[in-house]
Amino acid sequence: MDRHHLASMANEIGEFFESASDHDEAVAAIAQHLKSFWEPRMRREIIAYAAAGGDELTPIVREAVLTLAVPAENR
Amino acid sequence: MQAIDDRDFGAPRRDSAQSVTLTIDGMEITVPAGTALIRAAALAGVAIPKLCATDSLEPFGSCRLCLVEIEGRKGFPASCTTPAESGMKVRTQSEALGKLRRNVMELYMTDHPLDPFECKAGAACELHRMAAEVGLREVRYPRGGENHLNLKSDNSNPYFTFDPTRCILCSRCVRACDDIQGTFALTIEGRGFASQMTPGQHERYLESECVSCGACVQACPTDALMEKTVLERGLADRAIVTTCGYCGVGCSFKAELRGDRIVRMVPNKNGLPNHGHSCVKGRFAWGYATHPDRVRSPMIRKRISDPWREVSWEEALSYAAAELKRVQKQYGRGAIGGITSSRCTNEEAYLVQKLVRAAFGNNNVDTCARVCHSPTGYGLKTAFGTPAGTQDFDSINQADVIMVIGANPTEGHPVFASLMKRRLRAGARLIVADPRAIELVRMPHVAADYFLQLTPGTNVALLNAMAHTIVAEGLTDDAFIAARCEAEGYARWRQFILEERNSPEAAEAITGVRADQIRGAARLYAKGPNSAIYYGLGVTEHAQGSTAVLAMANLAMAAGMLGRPGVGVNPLRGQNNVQGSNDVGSFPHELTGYRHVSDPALRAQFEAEWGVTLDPEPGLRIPNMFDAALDGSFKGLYVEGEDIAQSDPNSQHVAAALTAMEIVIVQDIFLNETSKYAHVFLPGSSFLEKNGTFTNAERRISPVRKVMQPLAGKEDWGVTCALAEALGYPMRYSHPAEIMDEIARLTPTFAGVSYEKLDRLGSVQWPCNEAAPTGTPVMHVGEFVRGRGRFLPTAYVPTPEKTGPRFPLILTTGRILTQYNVGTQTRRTGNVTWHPEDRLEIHPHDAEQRGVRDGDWVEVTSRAGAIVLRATITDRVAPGVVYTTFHHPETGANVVTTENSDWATNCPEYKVTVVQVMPTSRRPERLPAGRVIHAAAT
Repeated sequence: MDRHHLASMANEIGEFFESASDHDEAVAAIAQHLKSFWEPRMRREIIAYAAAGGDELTPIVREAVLTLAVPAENR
Repeated sequence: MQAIDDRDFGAPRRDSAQSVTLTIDGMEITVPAGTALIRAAALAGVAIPKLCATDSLEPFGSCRLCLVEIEGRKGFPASCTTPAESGMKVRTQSEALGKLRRNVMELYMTDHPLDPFECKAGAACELHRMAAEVGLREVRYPRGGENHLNLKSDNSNPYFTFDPTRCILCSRCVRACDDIQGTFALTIEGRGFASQMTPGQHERYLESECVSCGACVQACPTDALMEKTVLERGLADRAIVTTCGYCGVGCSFKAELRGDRIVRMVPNKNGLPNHGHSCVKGRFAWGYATHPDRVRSPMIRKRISDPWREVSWEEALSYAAAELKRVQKQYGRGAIGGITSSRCTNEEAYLVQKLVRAAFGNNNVDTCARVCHSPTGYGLKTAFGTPAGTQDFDSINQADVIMVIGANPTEGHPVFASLMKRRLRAGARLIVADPRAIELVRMPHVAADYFLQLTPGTNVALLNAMAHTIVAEGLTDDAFIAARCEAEGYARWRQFILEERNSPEAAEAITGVRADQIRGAARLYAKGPNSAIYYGLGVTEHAQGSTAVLAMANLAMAAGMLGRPGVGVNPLRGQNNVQGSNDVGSFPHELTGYRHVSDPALRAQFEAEWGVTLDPEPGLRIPNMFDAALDGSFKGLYVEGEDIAQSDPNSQHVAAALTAMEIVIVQDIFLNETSKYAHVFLPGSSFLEKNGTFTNAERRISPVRKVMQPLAGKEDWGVTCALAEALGYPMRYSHPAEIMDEIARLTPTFAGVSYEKLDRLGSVQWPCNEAAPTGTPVMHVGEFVRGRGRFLPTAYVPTPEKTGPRFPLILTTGRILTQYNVGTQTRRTGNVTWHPEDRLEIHPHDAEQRGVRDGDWVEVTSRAGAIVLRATITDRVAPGVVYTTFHHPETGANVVTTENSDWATNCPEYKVTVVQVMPTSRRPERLPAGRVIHAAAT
């Protein structure tokens, strides 16, 4: 899927939560939003993109996305 | 003419804690204080003759037919205007009364055809019935005198006629227009014998301000105002109660039939959403159901470039199932999905999502709420715990302050607008926040106290500034907040909202609304005592749609405006069943009742009922499906009753995505833009051809009843079942009642819903369960569904859509009364008489700068495309803003809108597009497939 579009959508999600909560809460909220609403293939794409640098992602969104890459048992 | 099976009690019901007991014709009767004698008598089983009185209108006392005698009182008071009192002894029949009534009737009949055979209303004519009831056998006055029998009929309205020779000047039509509809289009002109009922300034109906709601036709006691279908088809002989298939008000109607043919639709006076009122669409625009364009046979084709081939149901379904299976085998289980319809019933939407989850084996199901009220779902669920309006419609009768933001009720939700206008005429105050001066801002007997004409895309800044004022000036309801809301969240929000960036002065620079106006509106809202917010797609269809919904929730919680009648946060839903289709599990991340698919205990319940293992991951949303189709991972789609190629954003993108799919199945009543990309077409059924339920914007579940046989032989739920069977997953039901039973078994908020209950009560509002067996008109009483209300900071983030030298104007869109969405239904009815084209509204200043005159053709250009339409110069829009409707595909209004969407839900930002407008010699053309109109779907 179009990574530019996925990154743009993820950044908009990040913009809301970043302004609504402190850093750690925002990271968790962004990750949870992606987990709750994004279909797995979209999450796989954005995780792969973040893991590869994710230039278009804002720092907090990249951080949140990368938490999704960690297997649940290690979180 | 009222509904054929309605009983008229002569005067409206009165609600009073006090009751009075009186005697009427020797019978003792107890009624609420304030009840008119004519109604008390009717309740006692005594029908007093009447003409100007009817129970839908306040008493008028003009016809002098309902006279009675009251012991101890002189004269013969009119029973419609005399309230019942304790101890009264009333006589409705006596020699003197009989003589008086016959004399009155005799005078009426001198100027009216005597022969009931000449009367088009036949047995339903109240005048002839009353003449018989009072025993009038002859008219002593000569017929040759001056009369009104040669006046000309007005046939200008496409749906009804006005024959002034049959008018008895009872004023029921005028009062219906004033009191029920609130348009004030009719009047009695002239004095004495020269008096005549006339629309507008002695105009014909069509040229007057009349909005064709039909209230006057329904109120008329004679055949002066008659539906043309009654004149053509004769009087009905039976009636079936059902629910309107247009907007989210969900009006209850009686479909009146003669044999199996519809004669007319009459709003049901016992219908709780509408109380016997209707709009031009619901009452009159039902002819599309039998339009020649209806597809009556299934069709298939291998390639979208092939012509359609009519086939049997068996062949179509077997081809569709085989292709879906092939695609899944070749590309994976997640390569197909489905879209439920907000125009179909709850049961049908439920079955489509069940088909996707159980037979397709994934959660790739979505619905048109994606492009309209999905931010409502996100915002209200986050703040309150449930994604639905907080009130019933009648709650507005207790509102002291009404705030309408991003909605245009008189055009989009006209029957609720009439209720709202009545409350405003009774003294409620009004705040309107809208980029455009909607009708409510100033109309007969209604004027907004505050009209906040904000720049499109700045709702959040405005709402934050209102909240800032309320907090800064100590107008918060601290007791409510302490008792009902999360303390930590409130403290954090309070700190945020008091920041300078949220002040009215800061908002003025963003919104264009003066700070003092924002403060005034905020004070008015906070002081209530009961303040209610009503909003529409002007809130949700923005990049910050969900944030704006959260901001309204913050505002209401801060002012304590939740949890009782007269207050609340209320979305005005666009389509008839957009609430219901969401309730029954149409979103890709939620099963019925808005419960997330990731919950293993929840899935276990559905797995036990459905006999399959369910996918625990959310599925693709509609725009995600398109993206996945273009990357080759999504190849098949089943679309029920939704024209995504026409109604979804970025139509070139949609067209490319649909073209990339290998099997597209469209189930609809007409061929549409999406079917251009389809391989299978399954003919659907209109709301008149099926049984089921719709759920309106106040969470009211109402029955939809089959009025005529499905033209193609199957109701939509039956088609979905047949497709499931062909896929090897039998879903067998003998009636939609069994589907509702299944929904009730699986959904706590629907646990108490059954067809038996709906038949008994007429309708119920969810939650309807053991705790609320007859439903829940007002939500969040005492406690929010989520426990404590959640405040969240809602920082204003400007839309990425910004004006500049190339695109200096902002285009926003909306609806008009007579047309519905992209016009698929209404353009196939007499409603084409009105609004023959979409026009671009432009401010005189902007027009002058561009050399545009009223009526000129102009080209509207955005970064997405260009369209051509004619200009209307008006100061309803502010300088810098242009506006159009989107009902005509020839205009292509939404070709110019962009791919921007709400951050939380991907609801498209239809309401803000930067454009340039210039005069042009071009003319609109029907655009090729993929470059056609797309529009806000609800």
